[in-house]
Amino acid sequence: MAGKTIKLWLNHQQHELLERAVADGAAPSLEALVKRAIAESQPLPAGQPEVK
Amino acid sequence: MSERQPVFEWIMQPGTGKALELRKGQILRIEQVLGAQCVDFNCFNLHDYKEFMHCGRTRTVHGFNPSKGTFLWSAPPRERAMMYIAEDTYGRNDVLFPRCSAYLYESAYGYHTHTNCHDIQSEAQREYGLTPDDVHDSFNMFMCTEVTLEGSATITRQQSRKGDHIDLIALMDVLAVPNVCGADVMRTSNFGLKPIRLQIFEATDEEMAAVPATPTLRSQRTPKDFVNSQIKATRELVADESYVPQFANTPLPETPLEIELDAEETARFEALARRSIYGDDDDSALRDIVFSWWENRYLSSASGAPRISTAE
Repeated sequence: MAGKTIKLWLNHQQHELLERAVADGAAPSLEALVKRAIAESQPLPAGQPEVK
Repeated sequence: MSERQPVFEWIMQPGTGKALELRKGQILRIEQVLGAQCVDFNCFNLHDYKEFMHCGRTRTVHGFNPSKGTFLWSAPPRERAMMYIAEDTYGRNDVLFPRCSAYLYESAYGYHTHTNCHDIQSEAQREYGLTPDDVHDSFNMFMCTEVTLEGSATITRQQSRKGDHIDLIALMDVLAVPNVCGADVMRTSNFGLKPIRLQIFEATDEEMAAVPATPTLRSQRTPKDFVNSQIKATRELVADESYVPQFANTPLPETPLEIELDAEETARFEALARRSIYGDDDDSALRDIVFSWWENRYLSSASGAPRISTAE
């Protein structure tokens, strides 16, 4: 599978929350924080509705 | 002070309610005289009746059956702990069902007039100048309810006994208003109406010390923080021509953050993207992943409610 670029649109409130996590040391940058979220998230178990 | 000091006692007869002033640090005991009697309950800030118990907030923080070790919370934007349940010997209460009303007994049972919690509550609260419109959603004590798998709520019979009681500690000065639920033709109180004993005590230092601390936050706003703190005195709703909206944090424009994913990250993203919800909208799918991760890592309790350490 090829790589891709995604434009993540955030309002200032969403931005602030993630910036706080960066300031808290969760990642060196917002981009790195997003990648960490992808890396640490678990796919849904088979059969579980995606709305959960 | 080491012993409880009773300062008031009252037997609440079927079909009646009682408005009671409690000062911060007093305990209201609501006790079964014969057993199996539901009690509906309202609670107001004694110095500002616009602050009142909010079943929705209480339900969100403590679940459908608030019992020993939980709080009665006031409505937004106050959201303060008004009372604390220090004891609950039966342990079955309800914040799902509304109070029963005259409408119910007329529509379902054909009564012209019948005892009902709304009207009893309203009559008891009238002593303090409140109107029928001021009765709020009821905290239903000694009321057994269930939620079915299909999502509907039902009332069941109950098994509270003589002497079962709930002790509520006032955490602010309140007007507490219990009433004997008027439902004598329902299973709520096992098809009967029975008296309820009310007592007020001074809480001991030990009892006050056992109340868990709750947060004090800027967002717990009181009238001094309101743009409009005046209580409306007329019934008609008329637009204020000088009104200028002051919605917080608005406008809310969005700015883009470009995220370059390599092949492995893209594959992982695709495994996480909830396509049945977001379709081919990568932006929304990624926002979900990021904020779900944040919730799992940082959110300290369910539904955004403050974490409450409950008593054993």
